[in-house]
Amino acid sequence: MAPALPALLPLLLLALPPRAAGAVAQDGAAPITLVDEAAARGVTALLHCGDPVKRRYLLECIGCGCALFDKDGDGDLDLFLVDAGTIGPPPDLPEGADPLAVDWKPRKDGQCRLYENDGAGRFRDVTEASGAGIRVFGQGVTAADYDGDGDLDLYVTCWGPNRLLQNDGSGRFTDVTRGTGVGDPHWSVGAAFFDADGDDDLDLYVGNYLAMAIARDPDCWRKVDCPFLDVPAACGPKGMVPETDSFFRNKGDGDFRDMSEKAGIHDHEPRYALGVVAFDHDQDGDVDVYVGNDSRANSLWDNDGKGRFFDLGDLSGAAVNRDGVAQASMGVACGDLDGDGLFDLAVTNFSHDDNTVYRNEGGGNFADITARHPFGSKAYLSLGWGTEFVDFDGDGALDLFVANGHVYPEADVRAPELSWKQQNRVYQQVNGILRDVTDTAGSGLQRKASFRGAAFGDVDGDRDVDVVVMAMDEPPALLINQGDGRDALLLELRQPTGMNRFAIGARAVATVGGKRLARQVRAGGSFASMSDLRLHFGLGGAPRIDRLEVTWPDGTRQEFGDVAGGRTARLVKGGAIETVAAPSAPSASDAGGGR
Amino acid sequence: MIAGAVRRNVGAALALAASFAFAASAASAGQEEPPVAVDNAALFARWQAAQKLHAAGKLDEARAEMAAILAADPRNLELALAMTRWLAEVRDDFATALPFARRAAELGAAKADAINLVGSVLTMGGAAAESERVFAAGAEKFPADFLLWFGLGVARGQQKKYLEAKVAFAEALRLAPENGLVLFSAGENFTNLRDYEAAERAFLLAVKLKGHDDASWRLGQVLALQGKHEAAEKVLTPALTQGGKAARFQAALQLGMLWVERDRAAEALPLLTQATEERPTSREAWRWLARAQRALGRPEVATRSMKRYAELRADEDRIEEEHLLSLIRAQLQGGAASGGSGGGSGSGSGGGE
Repeated sequence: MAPALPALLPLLLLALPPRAAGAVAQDGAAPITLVDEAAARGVTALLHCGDPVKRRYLLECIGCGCALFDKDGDGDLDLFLVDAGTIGPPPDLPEGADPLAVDWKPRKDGQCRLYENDGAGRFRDVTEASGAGIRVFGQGVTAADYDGDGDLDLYVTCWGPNRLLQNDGSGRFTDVTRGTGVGDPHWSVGAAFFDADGDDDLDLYVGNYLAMAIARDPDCWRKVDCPFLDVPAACGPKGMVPETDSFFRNKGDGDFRDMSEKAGIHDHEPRYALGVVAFDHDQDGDVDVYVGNDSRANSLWDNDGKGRFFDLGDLSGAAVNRDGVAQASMGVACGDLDGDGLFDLAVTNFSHDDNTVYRNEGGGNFADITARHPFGSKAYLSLGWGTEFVDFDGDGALDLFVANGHVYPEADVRAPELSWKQQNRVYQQVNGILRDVTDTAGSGLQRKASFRGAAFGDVDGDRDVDVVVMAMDEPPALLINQGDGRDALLLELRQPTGMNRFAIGARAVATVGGKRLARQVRAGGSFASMSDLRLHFGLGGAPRIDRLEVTWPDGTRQEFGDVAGGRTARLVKGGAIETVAAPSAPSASDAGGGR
Repeated sequence: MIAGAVRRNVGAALALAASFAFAASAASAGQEEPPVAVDNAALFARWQAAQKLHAAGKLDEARAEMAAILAADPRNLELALAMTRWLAEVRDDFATALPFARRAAELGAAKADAINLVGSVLTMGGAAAESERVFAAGAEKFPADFLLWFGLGVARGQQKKYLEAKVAFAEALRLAPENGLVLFSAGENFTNLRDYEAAERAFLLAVKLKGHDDASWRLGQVLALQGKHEAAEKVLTPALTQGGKAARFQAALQLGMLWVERDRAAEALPLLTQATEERPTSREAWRWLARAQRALGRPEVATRSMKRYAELRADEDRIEEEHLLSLIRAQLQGGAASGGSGGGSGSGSGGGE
């Protein structure tokens, strides 16, 4: 007979209430408040990805991303929303017809939307006049100055040929895909621009998912009603034909050449790619690529500096979780979570699985430290998409945002554990631990939808981080951060000449009161989305940055001491840091709605 | 992702298998061969013959004969139960037992031990949803029977209904607080819910109560996951020499992983090398061995280990792919795609070990 106390213990322990979400107040951290002001600020587009009544194919379940970028150089973030529309029925195949002679095409009944920011975070739909309202089965977007003319162009990933939209500098776009060589015909989702080979121009990595093309998989249209928890749902990705990713090298004149094979991308088997982020994982000065793959091991493409890649994923520890399980990865967050100067990763995954946090341990090693953060069962049961490490509360420590929503509408039959519509979640970093503060982080997080791509940036000019989150069959959420960004530094890096004017790949490390805040300029990331290129440094109440080190893409370094916060500033390579926006009252951000 | 949960559920399923011994000893102590309640001598003779066929490995013939026996007396609950029990407990053949368990369920198995038997066979046979219904009805009828609550928890866990499983395990523990097997399974469920603190407490008690052979290494694992490295090492080190071969292998793997993560690759190397020798088909042992070798500056041997790992992973991917494609092909040919809950579609499994 066991002693009485151990016999009673399990009952007592099981009876304990769960840890309250949002231990913010007791830990002394500033509260995070995100309010959905999409409608009040003019973002009302109703976007679709597939048939909202019955999603028969995975193609109709993946959803779309968005971009926060400055289309016209006026200093504020404009908004591009990707739309897919519907796919229509599969092609009619009369008996005896050659299925390869026809193929399946989108209906083109959706239209990507472009919204212009008035500087205070109010948006106006300028789609028709901008030329950006392409009708494609869109999936994701990234923005960069691929032609070195000083403005940001758009690259839209699609089911079908991807599109490159050239900006004339005023925010008017022209489809220049034909002739530039980047019209990747596969089903593409994530993409990132970066200088892979150190020649100053921006190359392009495209993550490709699976073959939903009769020419590639003659049976793809017949693969329906696969079992998901005993319920018929869309088939895939396993059982479908995966596609190989693509790498396009910029020839220096804005045209690209497909170098996928020579760059080593074809050296391993295709893996159902979704999320893509380009960052320097090993601080060797070149930019590497991390790819979140669905149901396959993730890829960590280590760059040799010349644009030749080797997949270090399995050896690095960042390909699979600690148990060795290849997760169904959707989005990728990248940031220096623990302030050691190395960029860590978070990967969003399927339901009944963790969103995995990989700590960068240096030397090409990553450790799965997910369990050290009390994400809990709500995160485990959610299905994550768009994500990023951002400093919502301005304390300098990166928090984590995760957009959620199930792949299958059929998840609703398993309620309450699963549901098609889910809450986005925010994990606030307090004393090095990410804690779920969703329940106390504002009304914007209480909305349930089947969310997908998410982009991050200061929408309303108050130097805190706001979020745009795409939703299936609903208008997106525009989560305005009600926090106090008054002491933050929002830093724009520019290069005066050359092909990489926006300094994609540049890195800056701020030292504030002994803490090191590392940031990197990136074009791509999250899930199929593009976030603010400006670097955000929350100073946690400190008035100044003690030291700021900037490493430009070519390795050139600049150092600055005693840098004032509380402003938006621009640093042109070789020059001084100049204020581009004077400090303003944080309440200016509150144009759209209450708290 | 789904595979991770499935992998952990295997632990619970194995725990359930172990529970057969418990249930059997409680329900039919001393009965090496459950009696067949048939008054038809001819049928009884056929039953004995079918058992001999099964024991001789002539499974197809045995199954056909058993089905014929049941068809000859389709309303005989005791016959269905006896066949289920013999196949499950004596022969460990849950697949063959499944239709007989279903028949017993249809005929309304009324006693608690019979419900437990039927539900358990349904769970082990992969019919977790049916099992849940059987156990739920049984627990309602016999609310003081902890085995029925336990079986209900396992059946729900198999379907990834972890929140509901938690309720069932809690009730089982209320009724049988000193049952190490229930504690172990509750710990597995807490792990599935990512409540590692509760899992740690449950596993700790399961270890003390010798609830399951895997309890020690699972405790060490959740300690390591939480960053409690020293405590994990204290648990895993003695586990290297305790329990069955499979449990010792897992303890070695977990300790090797912990040491690789703690920059103690030199100590991890012999453990992981031994793990790959003991179980050369363990891709995780090869992966962590490669990481240890790489950390020790031996890239060439690390590459070889990774190659083996990649081969094993490719094999697993291929097997899963073929399974899925077989389901799709079956559907294309007119039948419904079925079989297997959870990992089939969508984003799913990657395959733990």
